[in-house]
Amino acid sequence: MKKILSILLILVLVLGMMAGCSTDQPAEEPAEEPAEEPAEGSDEEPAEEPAEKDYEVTVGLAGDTLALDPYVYNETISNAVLQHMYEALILTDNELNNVPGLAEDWELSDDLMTWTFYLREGVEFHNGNEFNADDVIYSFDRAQEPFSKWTNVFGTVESYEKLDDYTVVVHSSSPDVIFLSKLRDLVILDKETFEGKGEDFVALNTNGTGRYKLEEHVKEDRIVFVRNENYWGEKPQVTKVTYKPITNDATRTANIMTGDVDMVVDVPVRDVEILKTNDDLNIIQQPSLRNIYLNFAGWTDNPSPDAEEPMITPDGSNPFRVLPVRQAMYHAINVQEISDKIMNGFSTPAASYSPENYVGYNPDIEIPEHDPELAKQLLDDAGYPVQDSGELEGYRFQVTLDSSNDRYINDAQIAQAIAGYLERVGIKVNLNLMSRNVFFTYIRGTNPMGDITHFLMSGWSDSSGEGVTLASDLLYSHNQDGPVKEGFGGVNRGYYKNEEVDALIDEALATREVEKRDELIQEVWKIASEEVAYIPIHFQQDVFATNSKIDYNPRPNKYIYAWDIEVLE
Amino acid sequence: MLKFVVRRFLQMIMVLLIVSVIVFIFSSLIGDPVSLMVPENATQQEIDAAREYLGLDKPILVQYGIFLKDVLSGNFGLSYRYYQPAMKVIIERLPATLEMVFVSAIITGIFSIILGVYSGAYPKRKGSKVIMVFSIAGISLPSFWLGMMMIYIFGIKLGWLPPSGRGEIGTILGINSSLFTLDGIKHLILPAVTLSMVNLATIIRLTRAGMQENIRQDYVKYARSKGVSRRDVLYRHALKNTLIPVVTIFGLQIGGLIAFTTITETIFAWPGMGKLLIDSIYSADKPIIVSYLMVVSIMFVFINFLVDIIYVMIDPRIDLK
Repeated sequence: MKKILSILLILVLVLGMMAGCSTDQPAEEPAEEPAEEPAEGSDEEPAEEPAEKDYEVTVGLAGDTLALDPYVYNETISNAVLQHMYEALILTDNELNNVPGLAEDWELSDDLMTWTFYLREGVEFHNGNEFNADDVIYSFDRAQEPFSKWTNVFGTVESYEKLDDYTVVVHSSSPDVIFLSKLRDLVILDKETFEGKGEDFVALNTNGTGRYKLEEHVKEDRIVFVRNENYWGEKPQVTKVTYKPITNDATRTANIMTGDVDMVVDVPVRDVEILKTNDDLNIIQQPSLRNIYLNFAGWTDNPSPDAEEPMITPDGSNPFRVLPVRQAMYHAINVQEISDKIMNGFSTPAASYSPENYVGYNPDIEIPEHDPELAKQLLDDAGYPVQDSGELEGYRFQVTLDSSNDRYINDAQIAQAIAGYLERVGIKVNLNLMSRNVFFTYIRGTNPMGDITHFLMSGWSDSSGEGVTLASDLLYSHNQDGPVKEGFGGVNRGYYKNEEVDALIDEALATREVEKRDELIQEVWKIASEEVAYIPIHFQQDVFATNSKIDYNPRPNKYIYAWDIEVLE
Repeated sequence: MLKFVVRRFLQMIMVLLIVSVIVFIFSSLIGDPVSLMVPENATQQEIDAAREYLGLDKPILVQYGIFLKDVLSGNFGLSYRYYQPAMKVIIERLPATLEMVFVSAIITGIFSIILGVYSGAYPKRKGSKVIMVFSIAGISLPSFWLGMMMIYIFGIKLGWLPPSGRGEIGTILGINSSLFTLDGIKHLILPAVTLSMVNLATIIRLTRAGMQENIRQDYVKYARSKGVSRRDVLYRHALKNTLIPVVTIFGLQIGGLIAFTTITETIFAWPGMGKLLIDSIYSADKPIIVSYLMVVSIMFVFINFLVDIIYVMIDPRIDLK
């Protein structure tokens, strides 16, 4: 008897623990929405007007948005999810063109130094607060706090001010015609709701002007939005959307097969064939904006001075400095084979950093032919013959290739293939694979360990639609110990240097006409390609799967919005 | 008894201190949270600002001092990823894991004892051989494979159960749990069974071995000759003597389940603590990692305390002093 009693007691203890922990789960936002929805009322009198139907959609994402504060993250999933509730001054259409958002109109002064934004009147935040210039000024201020990931939006901004309740002026320190494309992911928060509150408050509470209101967010389980019936613009068809973070690839595939979700993102390449055999499912794919490429420290005599595994050459010179060596390496790599064999065809071989539909895309640049014999010839002629003695016996020189192994699709396999191609022409490659939490510090020239990388594989994408943004991050001259021009060349990890390219980028940034800008940047890609400033490998593909209930029209930047989903009758 | 509790409490404080030092220092080595937080094209000023914001610009010993001081006032730091107090994030996730472990422990407890006693008492029967084959399979099949097979068979092929996620949550007596709704229970079955497999197999084998040993003892023969029924001999006399090691292992396993259900939770997209831990490690979220392992240490000390008390209930000869 006593034993049964004590077992009961233990049970009560355990249950008590559960109870103690479980009280504060839901109720993030008391929410005032359901009453406003006409759902039940309209059912009673069917009348002439077609009754408002409920369209509910569930989408499986590859990850969760970790905080509801739009400024503490700047990455695809968080941006897209939070833009259901929050909006920026500038929005984009399906082709990434700028369209009016909370700013109804804007103009750029003749000296290209002053932007004036005319704000939309009569817009309400979800709680009924009115939107005006104070909210914009507050948001701009908050986006520059130390926790914000959006400080680089204000790189060329000197100051901004409110002219009247619906006009905001931004003064630049240098001409920046693409300021708009930087602004369009920077969403506007309600000043009255958030002013003076800490990051932990903003991470849990929302109040935006967007098409959807937050109904529920259970971390790592689901985030649910309902349509904002007071939205200022055209209301989307989907009335309720649930996003489920399902990080395991195979589980995500299982969910679309069982019908538990209507759509999944990032379908693993190996599952596409299985899904295609199911008539109820559709596969949607598009080339992504993410370019995978190789960078080499070819514009310095002293590559990776602090490395444990430095470059080894017979005479101590830096072979990457020599153009024919860079050309030879490009000829040695079979980009098409990487796409066919490693990516199962789910990648688009790239000839430059620029996606096709970007301003400045140069269609004339071609991927050099895969030709190992030519590569060997070029290396011989460049003065790097195969050594027949010493530590380099059988090789021309030795380099270390740094790459992540959990950041990009099949990144480790691609790096291994590249090492193989280079070994075949006599370049010994020491493969250094690492996790992304180490990788991005490791490859930064100014990291605490010193400059330790001279050859690396990485990826880059931006969704500006402007080649000049890509070029100013990736190609603008940058020294080993810091930028030549503050805020430029931040990911120029080969320390590529070319004053002509810098001048073209500067000029493009001060060129208002799109056609002119296009010409200037085409020239940039051409010069960089002739000099083999980097070796582009491919653009990844975005692969989505939907069931027959819905139709989905993806965006080039892979932002998933409920208003791009159409529920079929 | 009181002396025992006080001693355990002091032990716990020691354990926590040691764990905090080890974890704090080692989690500084697993990666740089700043590089994951700033944009890749960030300027040096932006990086420095982020480092200062996180307090990572100070020497590690100073950081540890600040951490200890904060912990004494109940503040375990703000998560780098969630921008919420670390302890709050962990406690939010606790119910999901606890309910899964609770169901898994019941499955393990009931089936392992019944099957273990049976196969120990009648080792020659066909049934016992089937049980042994099953237990070898249970021990050797990795849970990520088992989980995927479960999803494939019961989710996709048969369509009986949902493939992943936590179901609807009900409330009874102020407790929120998905155990209280049909939808919730449906979602719970596959992960709980997957989680049980290894432990079930281990404990079956442990019980069986103990039973086989005990059943040959003289006291069993004596009880039988005295006229005690076979069932009573097995379940009252022999089982009791078998249970001590079983309870020890079971206790440790439960602790392990609560703390490190990482793989099962990842496969079934279960919003529990194990997934939180692995995500935090991937992104070097030190406040969560440190607080989490502190919570786990407290829990293990507590579970071992419970196990000690259960010893006394099973075998009154054991003295806690």
